[in-house]
Amino acid sequence: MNQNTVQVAPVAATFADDLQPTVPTRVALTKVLIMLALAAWMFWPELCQMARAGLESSDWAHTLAAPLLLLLLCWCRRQVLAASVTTGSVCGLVLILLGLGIYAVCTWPYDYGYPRQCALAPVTAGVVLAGAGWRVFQRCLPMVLLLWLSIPIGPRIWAALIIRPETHTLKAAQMLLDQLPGVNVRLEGPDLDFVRGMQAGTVATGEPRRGAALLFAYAAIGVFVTFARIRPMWQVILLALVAVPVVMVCNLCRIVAWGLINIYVNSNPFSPVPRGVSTVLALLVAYGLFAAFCGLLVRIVLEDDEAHEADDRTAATEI
Amino acid sequence: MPPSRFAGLRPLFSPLFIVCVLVLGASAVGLRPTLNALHSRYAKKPIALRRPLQALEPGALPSFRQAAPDPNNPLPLEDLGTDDAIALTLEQRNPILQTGPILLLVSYYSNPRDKVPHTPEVCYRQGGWIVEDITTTPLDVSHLALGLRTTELRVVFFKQSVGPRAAVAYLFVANGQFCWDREQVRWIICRPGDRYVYFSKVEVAVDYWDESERVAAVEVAKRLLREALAVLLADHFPRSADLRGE
Repeated sequence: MNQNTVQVAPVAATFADDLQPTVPTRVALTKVLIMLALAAWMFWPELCQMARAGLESSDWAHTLAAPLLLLLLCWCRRQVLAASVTTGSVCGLVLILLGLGIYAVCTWPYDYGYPRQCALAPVTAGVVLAGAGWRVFQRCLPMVLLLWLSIPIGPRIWAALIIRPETHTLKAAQMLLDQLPGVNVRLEGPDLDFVRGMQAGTVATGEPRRGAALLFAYAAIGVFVTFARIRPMWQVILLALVAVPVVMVCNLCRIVAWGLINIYVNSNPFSPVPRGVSTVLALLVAYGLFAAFCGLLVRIVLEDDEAHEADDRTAATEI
Repeated sequence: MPPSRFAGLRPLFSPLFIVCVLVLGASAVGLRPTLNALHSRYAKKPIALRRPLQALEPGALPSFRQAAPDPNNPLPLEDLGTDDAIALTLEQRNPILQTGPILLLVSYYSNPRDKVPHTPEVCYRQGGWIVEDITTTPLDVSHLALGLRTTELRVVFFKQSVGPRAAVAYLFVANGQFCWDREQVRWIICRPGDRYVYFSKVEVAVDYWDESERVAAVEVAKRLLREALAVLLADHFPRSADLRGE
Protein backbone atom coordinates (compact mmCIF):
# COMPACT_ATOMS: atom_id res chain seq x y z
CA MET A 1 0.00 0.00 0.00
CA ASN A 2 2.70 2.40 1.05
CA GLN A 3 4.75 1.38 -1.92
CA ASN A 4 1.87 2.28 -4.24
CA THR A 5 1.53 5.69 -2.65
CA VAL A 6 5.22 6.35 -3.03
CA GLN A 7 5.08 5.41 -6.70
CA VAL A 8 2.01 7.47 -7.53
CA ALA A 9 3.04 10.67 -5.80
CA PRO A 10 5.87 11.72 -8.16
CA VAL A 11 3.70 10.99 -11.19
CA ALA A 12 0.93 13.14 -9.78
CA ALA A 13 3.40 15.89 -8.98
CA THR A 14 4.84 15.80 -12.51
CA PHE A 15 1.36 15.94 -13.99
CA ALA A 16 0.49 18.90 -11.75
CA ASP A 17 3.72 20.61 -12.80
CA ASP A 18 2.74 20.16 -16.43
CA LEU A 19 -0.43 22.08 -15.81
CA GLN A 20 1.35 24.97 -14.09
CA PRO A 21 2.74 27.13 -16.87
CA THR A 22 5.58 29.48 -16.08
CA VAL A 23 4.90 33.19 -16.34
CA PRO A 24 6.52 33.64 -19.82
CA THR A 25 4.56 30.64 -21.06
CA ARG A 26 1.35 32.09 -19.67
CA VAL A 27 2.10 35.45 -21.28
CA ALA A 28 2.91 33.80 -24.62
CA LEU A 29 -0.24 31.69 -24.42
CA THR A 30 -2.32 34.79 -23.65
CA LYS A 31 -0.80 36.67 -26.57
CA VAL A 32 -1.36 33.77 -28.97
CA LEU A 33 -4.95 33.25 -27.83
CA ILE A 34 -5.80 36.95 -28.19
CA MET A 35 -4.33 37.07 -31.68
CA LEU A 36 -6.01 33.79 -32.66
CA ALA A 37 -9.35 35.19 -31.52
CA LEU A 38 -8.81 38.25 -33.73
CA ALA A 39 -7.77 36.01 -36.65
CA ALA A 40 -10.92 33.91 -36.13
CA TRP A 41 -13.00 37.11 -36.22
CA MET A 42 -11.24 38.16 -39.41
CA PHE A 43 -11.76 34.75 -41.06
CA TRP A 44 -15.20 34.04 -39.59
CA PRO A 45 -17.05 33.74 -42.96
CA GLU A 46 -14.32 31.41 -44.25
CA LEU A 47 -14.49 29.30 -41.08
CA CYS A 48 -18.28 29.04 -41.45
CA GLN A 49 -17.81 28.06 -45.09
CA MET A 50 -15.33 25.35 -44.08
CA ALA A 51 -17.74 24.01 -41.47
CA ARG A 52 -20.55 23.95 -44.05
CA ALA A 53 -18.34 22.03 -46.48
CA GLY A 54 -17.54 19.56 -43.69
CA LEU A 55 -21.24 19.05 -43.02
CA GLU A 56 -22.24 18.74 -46.67
CA SER A 57 -19.43 16.62 -48.14
CA SER A 58 -17.98 13.46 -46.67
CA ASP A 59 -14.71 14.31 -48.44
CA TRP A 60 -14.24 17.14 -45.99
CA ALA A 61 -15.82 15.62 -42.90
CA HIS A 62 -12.38 15.68 -41.25
CA THR A 63 -12.61 19.49 -41.32
CA LEU A 64 -15.10 19.21 -38.46
CA ALA A 65 -12.70 17.01 -36.51
CA ALA A 66 -9.71 19.28 -37.20
CA PRO A 67 -10.13 21.54 -34.12
CA LEU A 68 -10.16 18.47 -31.88
CA LEU A 69 -7.12 16.98 -33.63
CA LEU A 70 -5.27 20.31 -33.32
CA LEU A 71 -6.02 20.49 -29.61
CA LEU A 72 -4.92 16.88 -29.15
CA LEU A 73 -1.63 17.56 -30.93
CA CYS A 74 -1.10 20.63 -28.72
CA TRP A 75 -1.83 18.48 -25.66
CA CYS A 76 0.60 15.76 -26.79
CA ARG A 77 3.31 18.40 -27.20
CA ARG A 78 2.42 20.61 -24.25
CA GLN A 79 5.68 20.06 -22.33
CA VAL A 80 7.86 20.69 -25.36
CA LEU A 81 5.82 23.71 -26.37
CA ALA A 82 6.01 25.21 -22.88
CA ALA A 83 9.76 24.64 -22.77
CA SER A 84 10.24 26.17 -26.24
CA VAL A 85 8.70 29.59 -25.59
CA THR A 86 11.01 32.46 -26.51
CA THR A 87 10.52 36.09 -27.43
CA GLY A 88 8.16 36.60 -30.32
CA SER A 89 9.72 37.32 -33.71
CA VAL A 90 8.92 40.20 -36.01
CA CYS A 91 8.86 37.61 -38.83
CA GLY A 92 5.50 36.57 -37.34
CA LEU A 93 4.14 40.00 -38.23
CA VAL A 94 5.52 39.55 -41.76
CA LEU A 95 3.68 36.19 -42.05
CA ILE A 96 0.46 37.76 -40.79
CA LEU A 97 0.77 40.56 -43.35
CA LEU A 98 1.54 38.00 -46.06
CA GLY A 99 -1.61 36.04 -45.16
CA LEU A 100 -3.73 39.18 -45.12
CA GLY A 101 -2.22 40.19 -48.46
CA ILE A 102 -3.14 36.83 -49.99
CA TYR A 103 -6.63 37.21 -48.55
CA ALA A 104 -6.99 40.70 -49.99
CA VAL A 105 -5.72 39.86 -53.49
CA CYS A 106 -7.91 36.74 -53.62
CA THR A 107 -10.96 38.81 -52.75
CA TRP A 108 -10.27 41.77 -55.02
CA PRO A 109 -9.37 42.09 -57.88
CA TYR A 110 -9.28 38.28 -58.06
CA ASP A 111 -11.92 35.96 -56.72
CA TYR A 112 -10.31 32.74 -55.54
CA GLY A 113 -12.14 31.04 -52.69
CA TYR A 114 -9.58 28.35 -51.91
CA PRO A 115 -6.44 30.54 -51.62
CA ARG A 116 -8.55 33.01 -49.64
CA GLN A 117 -9.30 30.28 -47.09
CA CYS A 118 -5.69 29.09 -47.24
CA ALA A 119 -4.59 32.56 -46.09
CA LEU A 120 -5.71 31.36 -42.67
CA ALA A 121 -2.62 29.11 -42.50
CA PRO A 122 0.09 31.82 -42.79
CA VAL A 123 -1.88 34.12 -40.49
CA THR A 124 -2.12 31.37 -37.84
CA ALA A 125 1.55 30.50 -38.25
CA GLY A 126 2.43 34.21 -37.97
CA VAL A 127 0.39 34.53 -34.78
CA VAL A 128 2.34 31.65 -33.19
CA LEU A 129 5.67 33.04 -34.35
CA ALA A 130 4.90 36.57 -33.16
CA GLY A 131 3.50 35.37 -29.85
CA ALA A 132 5.80 32.53 -28.83
CA GLY A 133 8.94 32.62 -30.95
CA TRP A 134 10.76 30.45 -33.47
CA ARG A 135 11.02 27.22 -31.51
CA VAL A 136 7.32 27.04 -30.74
CA PHE A 137 6.64 27.96 -34.37
CA GLN A 138 8.79 25.02 -35.49
CA ARG A 139 6.94 22.67 -33.12
CA CYS A 140 3.59 23.94 -34.39
CA LEU A 141 4.28 23.43 -38.10
CA PRO A 142 2.44 20.07 -38.11
CA MET A 143 -0.64 21.84 -36.74
CA VAL A 144 -0.44 24.37 -39.57
CA LEU A 145 -0.18 21.47 -42.03
CA LEU A 146 -3.22 19.84 -40.46
CA LEU A 147 -5.09 23.13 -40.70
CA TRP A 148 -4.22 23.40 -44.39
CA LEU A 149 -5.38 19.83 -45.07
CA SER A 150 -8.72 20.73 -43.48
CA ILE A 151 -9.43 23.57 -45.91
CA PRO A 152 -11.93 22.32 -48.50
CA ILE A 153 -11.10 22.70 -52.19
CA GLY A 154 -13.93 23.94 -54.42
CA PRO A 155 -15.83 21.17 -56.26
CA ARG A 156 -14.86 22.30 -59.78
CA ILE A 157 -11.15 22.57 -58.98
CA TRP A 158 -11.32 19.27 -57.10
CA ALA A 159 -13.09 17.54 -59.99
CA ALA A 160 -10.31 18.63 -62.37
CA LEU A 161 -7.48 17.75 -59.96
CA ILE A 162 -8.54 14.18 -59.28
CA ILE A 163 -9.04 13.02 -62.88
CA ARG A 164 -5.77 11.06 -63.08
CA PRO A 165 -5.75 9.48 -59.57
CA GLU A 166 -9.42 8.63 -59.93
CA THR A 167 -8.95 7.05 -63.37
CA HIS A 168 -6.01 4.93 -62.16
CA THR A 169 -7.80 3.91 -58.96
CA LEU A 170 -10.90 2.82 -60.84
CA LYS A 171 -8.80 0.84 -63.33
CA ALA A 172 -6.94 -0.88 -60.45
CA ALA A 173 -10.22 -1.62 -58.64
CA GLN A 174 -11.71 -3.03 -61.85
CA MET A 175 -8.69 -5.32 -62.33
CA LEU A 176 -8.80 -6.50 -58.70
CA LEU A 177 -12.54 -7.15 -58.59
CA ASP A 178 -12.43 -8.82 -62.01
CA GLN A 179 -10.12 -11.49 -60.52
CA LEU A 180 -12.91 -12.70 -58.22
CA PRO A 181 -14.28 -16.10 -59.28
CA GLY A 182 -17.46 -15.85 -61.30
CA VAL A 183 -17.41 -12.05 -61.31
CA ASN A 184 -17.08 -9.90 -64.43
CA VAL A 185 -16.34 -6.21 -63.80
CA ARG A 186 -16.23 -3.55 -66.53
CA LEU A 187 -15.26 0.11 -66.33
CA GLU A 188 -17.71 2.50 -68.02
CA GLY A 189 -16.65 6.13 -67.43
CA PRO A 190 -16.59 6.46 -63.66
CA ASP A 191 -18.86 3.40 -63.22
CA LEU A 192 -17.66 -0.07 -62.22
CA ASP A 193 -20.38 -2.33 -63.63
CA PHE A 194 -20.34 -5.89 -62.40
CA VAL A 195 -22.09 -9.14 -63.32
CA ARG A 196 -22.14 -12.14 -61.00
CA GLY A 197 -24.41 -14.94 -62.10
CA MET A 198 -27.87 -13.44 -62.48
CA GLN A 199 -26.92 -10.41 -60.43
CA ALA A 200 -25.75 -7.19 -62.11
CA GLY A 201 -25.11 -3.75 -60.72
CA THR A 202 -22.77 -0.80 -60.33
CA VAL A 203 -20.29 -0.34 -57.52
CA ALA A 204 -20.89 2.79 -55.41
CA THR A 205 -24.02 3.90 -57.27
CA GLY A 206 -24.73 7.59 -56.83
CA GLU A 207 -21.40 8.37 -55.16
CA PRO A 208 -19.70 11.37 -56.77
CA ARG A 209 -15.92 11.09 -57.20
CA ARG A 210 -16.08 7.46 -56.05
CA GLY A 211 -12.57 6.77 -57.30
CA ALA A 212 -10.94 9.55 -55.31
CA ALA A 213 -12.70 10.20 -52.04
CA LEU A 214 -11.42 11.20 -48.61
CA LEU A 215 -7.86 11.74 -49.88
CA PHE A 216 -7.26 14.69 -47.57
CA ALA A 217 -8.88 12.83 -44.66
CA TYR A 218 -6.31 10.01 -44.99
CA ALA A 219 -3.53 12.59 -45.21
CA ALA A 220 -4.86 14.37 -42.11
CA ILE A 221 -4.82 11.06 -40.23
CA GLY A 222 -1.24 10.58 -41.40
CA VAL A 223 -0.21 14.01 -40.13
CA PHE A 224 -1.88 13.37 -36.79
CA VAL A 225 -0.32 9.95 -36.29
CA THR A 226 3.12 11.08 -37.47
CA PHE A 227 3.30 14.17 -35.34
CA ALA A 228 1.73 12.81 -32.19
CA ARG A 229 5.36 12.74 -31.08
CA ILE A 230 8.34 14.92 -31.90
CA ARG A 231 10.38 13.36 -34.70
CA PRO A 232 13.74 14.06 -36.30
CA MET A 233 13.57 15.62 -39.73
CA TRP A 234 14.76 12.50 -41.56
CA GLN A 235 11.82 10.51 -40.15
CA VAL A 236 9.42 13.25 -41.21
CA ILE A 237 10.87 13.17 -44.74
CA LEU A 238 10.56 9.38 -44.91
CA LEU A 239 6.97 9.50 -43.68
CA ALA A 240 6.16 12.27 -46.16
CA LEU A 241 7.51 10.06 -48.96
CA VAL A 242 5.28 7.13 -48.00
CA ALA A 243 2.25 9.37 -47.37
CA VAL A 244 1.11 9.61 -51.01
CA PRO A 245 1.26 5.84 -51.70
CA VAL A 246 -0.49 5.14 -48.38
CA VAL A 247 -3.25 7.61 -49.23
CA MET A 248 -3.73 6.02 -52.66
CA VAL A 249 -3.80 2.50 -51.19
CA CYS A 250 -6.46 3.55 -48.67
CA ASN A 251 -8.45 5.12 -51.49
CA LEU A 252 -8.24 1.86 -53.44
CA CYS A 253 -9.20 -0.13 -50.33
CA ARG A 254 -12.37 1.91 -49.96
CA ILE A 255 -13.67 1.34 -53.49
CA VAL A 256 -12.65 -2.34 -53.47
CA ALA A 257 -14.35 -2.90 -50.10
CA TRP A 258 -17.46 -1.14 -51.41
CA GLY A 259 -17.32 -3.34 -54.50
CA LEU A 260 -17.03 -6.52 -52.45
CA ILE A 261 -20.05 -5.55 -50.36
CA ASN A 262 -22.05 -4.63 -53.48
CA ILE A 263 -21.12 -7.87 -55.23
CA TYR A 264 -21.49 -10.38 -52.39
CA VAL A 265 -24.03 -8.84 -50.02
CA ASN A 266 -26.49 -7.95 -52.78
CA SER A 267 -27.89 -5.04 -50.81
CA ASN A 268 -30.03 -2.18 -52.06
CA PRO A 269 -27.73 -0.16 -54.40
CA PHE A 270 -28.65 3.05 -52.56
CA SER A 271 -28.18 1.61 -49.08
CA PRO A 272 -25.85 3.78 -46.94
CA VAL A 273 -24.37 0.68 -45.25
CA PRO A 274 -21.71 -0.27 -47.89
CA ARG A 275 -20.59 3.33 -48.04
CA GLY A 276 -20.29 3.64 -44.27
CA VAL A 277 -18.55 0.28 -43.83
CA SER A 278 -16.03 0.87 -46.62
CA THR A 279 -15.30 4.40 -45.38
CA VAL A 280 -14.67 3.31 -41.79
CA LEU A 281 -12.56 0.42 -43.05
CA ALA A 282 -10.43 2.69 -45.24
CA LEU A 283 -9.94 5.21 -42.43
CA LEU A 284 -8.84 2.38 -40.12
CA VAL A 285 -6.44 1.13 -42.79
CA ALA A 286 -5.01 4.65 -43.07
CA TYR A 287 -4.53 4.85 -39.31
CA GLY A 288 -3.03 1.35 -39.21
CA LEU A 289 -0.61 1.92 -42.09
CA PHE A 290 0.67 5.24 -40.78
CA ALA A 291 0.98 3.84 -37.25
CA ALA A 292 2.82 0.80 -38.62
CA PHE A 293 5.31 2.99 -40.50
CA CYS A 294 5.87 5.14 -37.41
CA GLY A 295 6.37 2.02 -35.29
CA LEU A 296 8.78 0.64 -37.83
CA LEU A 297 10.87 3.81 -37.69
CA VAL A 298 10.97 3.69 -33.90
CA ARG A 299 12.06 0.04 -33.99
CA ILE A 300 14.75 0.67 -36.59
CA VAL A 301 16.26 3.51 -34.62
CA LEU A 302 16.35 2.97 -30.88
CA GLU A 303 15.89 6.43 -29.55
CA ASP A 304 16.44 7.86 -26.17
CA ASP A 305 13.64 10.43 -25.96
CA GLU A 306 15.01 12.24 -22.95
CA ALA A 307 18.42 12.58 -24.52
CA HIS A 308 16.79 13.98 -27.65
CA GLU A 309 14.78 16.57 -25.79
CA ALA A 310 17.86 17.75 -23.91
CA ASP A 311 20.02 17.90 -26.99
CA ASP A 312 19.77 21.36 -28.52
CA ARG A 313 21.68 20.38 -31.62
CA THR A 314 19.15 17.74 -32.63
CA ALA A 315 16.24 19.88 -31.46
CA ALA A 316 16.94 22.25 -34.32
CA THR A 317 16.10 19.51 -36.83
CA GLU A 318 13.09 18.04 -35.02
CA ILE A 319 9.49 18.77 -35.81
CA MET B 1 8.20 47.96 -2.08
CA PRO B 2 6.44 44.76 -3.20
CA PRO B 3 6.22 44.19 -6.94
CA SER B 4 3.02 45.32 -8.59
CA ARG B 5 0.33 42.71 -9.05
CA PHE B 6 0.40 43.34 -12.79
CA ALA B 7 4.18 43.39 -13.15
CA GLY B 8 4.07 39.92 -14.69
CA LEU B 9 1.76 41.20 -17.41
CA ARG B 10 4.21 43.83 -18.61
CA PRO B 11 5.63 41.54 -21.36
CA LEU B 12 2.09 41.26 -22.70
CA PHE B 13 2.33 44.84 -23.92
CA SER B 14 5.37 44.38 -26.09
CA PRO B 15 5.42 46.61 -29.19
CA LEU B 16 5.34 43.60 -31.52
CA PHE B 17 2.24 42.18 -29.86
CA ILE B 18 0.47 45.52 -29.93
CA VAL B 19 1.27 46.00 -33.63
CA CYS B 20 0.02 42.47 -34.43
CA VAL B 21 -3.19 43.06 -32.48
CA LEU B 22 -3.75 46.38 -34.25
CA VAL B 23 -3.14 44.82 -37.67
CA LEU B 24 -5.44 41.86 -37.01
CA GLY B 25 -8.10 44.02 -35.34
CA ALA B 26 -8.07 46.59 -38.14
CA SER B 27 -8.28 43.80 -40.72
CA ALA B 28 -11.18 42.15 -38.93
CA VAL B 29 -13.06 45.44 -38.82
CA GLY B 30 -12.17 47.07 -42.10
CA LEU B 31 -10.56 44.77 -44.64
CA ARG B 32 -13.64 42.93 -45.87
CA PRO B 33 -15.86 46.06 -46.23
CA THR B 34 -13.03 47.84 -48.04
CA LEU B 35 -12.52 44.95 -50.46
CA ASN B 36 -16.26 44.63 -51.04
CA ALA B 37 -16.47 48.35 -51.79
CA LEU B 38 -13.58 48.07 -54.26
CA HIS B 39 -15.27 45.04 -55.80
CA SER B 40 -18.50 46.98 -56.33
CA ARG B 41 -16.74 50.11 -57.55
CA TYR B 42 -14.58 48.36 -60.13
CA ALA B 43 -16.88 45.45 -61.01
CA LYS B 44 -16.53 44.45 -64.63
CA LYS B 45 -19.57 44.46 -66.86
CA PRO B 46 -20.98 41.87 -69.25
CA ILE B 47 -20.56 42.41 -72.97
CA ALA B 48 -22.80 40.87 -75.60
CA LEU B 49 -21.64 38.97 -78.66
CA ARG B 50 -21.39 41.08 -81.81
CA ARG B 51 -23.28 38.37 -83.64
CA PRO B 52 -25.16 35.46 -82.03
CA LEU B 53 -23.39 32.12 -82.10
CA GLN B 54 -26.49 30.61 -83.67
CA ALA B 55 -25.65 32.66 -86.76
CA LEU B 56 -22.38 30.76 -87.22
CA GLU B 57 -22.68 29.13 -90.63
CA PRO B 58 -20.89 25.83 -91.30
CA GLY B 59 -20.31 27.21 -94.79
CA ALA B 60 -17.89 29.73 -93.27
CA LEU B 61 -15.55 26.85 -92.44
CA PRO B 62 -13.58 26.10 -95.64
CA SER B 63 -12.64 22.50 -94.85
CA PHE B 64 -15.90 21.32 -93.28
CA ARG B 65 -19.59 21.04 -94.02
CA GLN B 66 -22.66 20.30 -91.96
CA ALA B 67 -23.49 16.65 -91.29
CA ALA B 68 -26.54 14.98 -89.86
CA PRO B 69 -26.46 14.92 -86.06
CA ASP B 70 -25.92 11.54 -84.45
CA PRO B 71 -29.38 10.51 -83.14
CA ASN B 72 -27.73 8.43 -80.38
CA ASN B 73 -25.71 11.39 -79.09
CA PRO B 74 -27.90 14.46 -78.62
CA LEU B 75 -25.97 17.73 -78.85
CA PRO B 76 -24.94 18.74 -75.32
CA LEU B 77 -26.41 22.23 -75.07
CA GLU B 78 -28.12 21.80 -71.72
CA ASP B 79 -26.41 22.38 -68.39
CA LEU B 80 -23.84 24.69 -69.97
CA GLY B 81 -24.93 27.57 -67.79
CA THR B 82 -25.50 29.90 -70.74
CA ASP B 83 -27.95 30.42 -73.58
CA ASP B 84 -25.16 31.66 -75.86
CA ALA B 85 -23.99 28.29 -77.13
CA ILE B 86 -23.94 26.35 -80.35
CA ALA B 87 -23.18 22.74 -81.20
CA LEU B 88 -22.55 21.85 -84.83
CA THR B 89 -22.15 18.39 -86.28
CA LEU B 90 -19.68 18.56 -89.16
CA GLU B 91 -17.77 16.40 -91.60
CA GLN B 92 -14.62 17.02 -93.63
CA ARG B 93 -14.88 18.12 -97.25
CA ASN B 94 -11.56 16.42 -98.13
CA PRO B 95 -11.01 13.87 -95.37
CA ILE B 96 -7.47 13.40 -94.06
CA LEU B 97 -8.89 10.70 -91.81
CA GLN B 98 -12.08 8.67 -91.98
CA THR B 99 -13.85 9.84 -88.84
CA GLY B 100 -17.33 9.78 -87.50
CA PRO B 101 -19.25 13.06 -87.15
CA ILE B 102 -17.11 15.89 -85.81
CA LEU B 103 -18.64 18.00 -83.05
CA LEU B 104 -17.90 21.70 -82.67
CA LEU B 105 -19.18 23.13 -79.40
CA VAL B 106 -18.87 26.83 -78.56
CA SER B 107 -20.23 28.37 -75.38
CA TYR B 108 -20.02 32.05 -74.44
CA TYR B 109 -20.22 33.68 -70.99
CA SER B 110 -20.11 37.35 -70.16
CA ASN B 111 -21.39 37.65 -66.62
CA PRO B 112 -18.37 38.15 -64.33
CA ARG B 113 -20.17 35.93 -61.81
CA ASP B 114 -20.48 33.06 -64.31
CA LYS B 115 -18.60 29.91 -63.37
CA VAL B 116 -15.96 28.81 -65.84
CA PRO B 117 -17.47 25.62 -67.29
CA HIS B 118 -16.23 22.13 -66.64
CA THR B 119 -13.72 20.80 -69.14
CA PRO B 120 -14.24 17.63 -71.25
CA GLU B 121 -12.04 15.44 -69.04
CA VAL B 122 -14.62 16.00 -66.29
CA CYS B 123 -17.85 15.99 -68.36
CA TYR B 124 -17.25 13.16 -70.82
CA ARG B 125 -16.69 10.61 -68.08
CA GLN B 126 -20.30 10.99 -67.05
CA GLY B 127 -21.21 9.69 -70.51
CA GLY B 128 -19.27 6.46 -70.03
CA TRP B 129 -15.96 7.58 -71.58
CA ILE B 130 -12.67 6.64 -69.94
CA VAL B 131 -9.80 9.13 -69.95
CA GLU B 132 -6.83 7.58 -71.76
CA ASP B 133 -4.47 10.51 -71.88
CA ILE B 134 -4.41 14.27 -71.36
CA THR B 135 -1.87 16.46 -73.12
CA THR B 136 -1.27 19.91 -74.58
CA THR B 137 -0.15 20.60 -78.11
CA PRO B 138 0.63 23.82 -80.01
CA LEU B 139 -2.02 25.26 -82.30
CA ASP B 140 -0.94 27.56 -85.11
CA VAL B 141 -2.85 30.83 -84.78
CA SER B 142 -0.61 33.02 -86.94
CA HIS B 143 -3.53 33.54 -89.38
CA LEU B 144 -5.53 35.36 -86.70
CA ALA B 145 -3.22 38.44 -86.76
CA LEU B 146 -3.06 38.63 -82.98
CA GLY B 147 0.73 38.84 -82.88
CA LEU B 148 0.88 35.19 -81.81
CA ARG B 149 2.37 32.32 -83.80
CA THR B 150 1.01 29.49 -81.68
CA THR B 151 -1.05 28.88 -78.57
CA GLU B 152 -1.37 25.82 -76.39
CA LEU B 153 -4.35 23.56 -76.94
CA ARG B 154 -5.58 20.94 -74.48
CA VAL B 155 -6.30 17.52 -75.97
CA VAL B 156 -7.99 14.70 -74.05
CA PHE B 157 -8.10 11.17 -75.47
CA PHE B 158 -11.02 9.00 -74.47
CA LYS B 159 -11.97 5.40 -75.05
CA GLN B 160 -15.02 3.28 -74.32
CA SER B 161 -15.31 -0.41 -73.52
CA VAL B 162 -17.27 -0.74 -76.77
CA GLY B 163 -17.27 1.79 -79.62
CA PRO B 164 -14.96 4.41 -81.08
CA ARG B 165 -12.28 6.41 -79.31
CA ALA B 166 -12.46 10.21 -79.20
CA ALA B 167 -9.94 13.04 -79.26
CA VAL B 168 -11.43 16.16 -77.68
CA ALA B 169 -9.44 19.36 -78.19
CA TYR B 170 -10.43 22.57 -76.47
CA LEU B 171 -9.26 25.99 -75.49
CA PHE B 172 -10.76 29.04 -73.84
CA VAL B 173 -10.87 32.54 -75.25
CA ALA B 174 -10.95 35.02 -72.36
CA ASN B 175 -11.11 38.70 -73.26
CA GLY B 176 -9.40 37.92 -76.56
CA GLN B 177 -6.64 35.79 -75.02
CA PHE B 178 -6.20 32.05 -75.44
CA CYS B 179 -5.74 29.63 -72.58
CA TRP B 180 -6.41 25.96 -71.91
CA ASP B 181 -6.98 25.92 -68.18
CA ARG B 182 -9.96 27.09 -66.12
CA GLU B 183 -7.69 28.83 -63.63
CA GLN B 184 -6.00 30.80 -66.41
CA VAL B 185 -9.44 32.02 -67.49
CA ARG B 186 -10.27 33.14 -63.96
CA TRP B 187 -6.95 34.96 -63.79
CA ILE B 188 -7.53 36.81 -67.07
CA ILE B 189 -11.12 37.84 -66.43
CA CYS B 190 -10.33 39.22 -62.98
CA ARG B 191 -7.16 41.03 -64.01
CA PRO B 192 -7.51 44.83 -63.69
CA GLY B 193 -7.64 46.76 -66.95
CA ASP B 194 -10.61 45.87 -69.11
CA ARG B 195 -14.00 47.31 -68.29
CA TYR B 196 -15.99 44.45 -69.81
CA VAL B 197 -15.49 40.74 -69.57
CA TYR B 198 -16.24 37.62 -71.57
CA PHE B 199 -14.94 34.11 -71.90
CA SER B 200 -15.76 31.28 -74.24
CA LYS B 201 -14.96 27.61 -74.48
CA VAL B 202 -14.33 26.27 -77.98
CA GLU B 203 -14.29 22.50 -78.14
CA VAL B 204 -13.91 19.98 -80.95
CA ALA B 205 -14.55 16.24 -80.61
CA VAL B 206 -13.31 13.83 -83.27
CA ASP B 207 -14.14 10.12 -83.14
CA TYR B 208 -11.56 7.61 -84.37
CA TRP B 209 -11.30 3.86 -84.16
CA ASP B 210 -7.67 2.85 -84.01
CA GLU B 211 -4.83 3.95 -81.75
CA SER B 212 -2.69 4.66 -84.84
CA GLU B 213 -5.22 7.32 -85.97
CA ARG B 214 -4.68 9.46 -82.90
CA VAL B 215 -2.31 11.97 -84.53
CA ALA B 216 -4.55 12.38 -87.57
CA ALA B 217 -7.59 12.90 -85.32
CA VAL B 218 -5.76 15.70 -83.52
CA GLU B 219 -4.84 17.26 -86.89
CA VAL B 220 -8.52 17.26 -87.89
CA ALA B 221 -9.45 18.88 -84.58
CA LYS B 222 -6.72 21.51 -85.00
CA ARG B 223 -7.82 22.34 -88.53
CA LEU B 224 -11.41 22.85 -87.40
CA LEU B 225 -10.35 24.96 -84.41
CA ARG B 226 -8.17 27.20 -86.59
CA GLU B 227 -11.03 27.83 -88.98
CA ALA B 228 -13.65 28.24 -86.26
CA LEU B 229 -11.50 30.66 -84.24
CA ALA B 230 -10.98 32.83 -87.32
CA VAL B 231 -14.75 33.17 -87.78
CA LEU B 232 -15.51 33.60 -84.10
CA LEU B 233 -12.92 36.34 -83.56
CA ALA B 234 -13.75 38.14 -86.79
CA ASP B 235 -17.54 38.10 -86.55
CA HIS B 236 -18.79 37.08 -83.11
CA PHE B 237 -16.58 37.78 -80.09
CA PRO B 238 -16.20 41.39 -78.87
CA ARG B 239 -13.23 43.42 -80.13
CA SER B 240 -10.39 44.37 -77.78
CA ALA B 241 -11.25 48.06 -78.04
CA ASP B 242 -14.86 47.31 -77.01
CA LEU B 243 -13.60 45.50 -73.89
CA ARG B 244 -11.83 48.63 -72.72
CA GLY B 245 -14.98 50.68 -73.32
CA GLU B 246 -13.35 52.90 -75.93
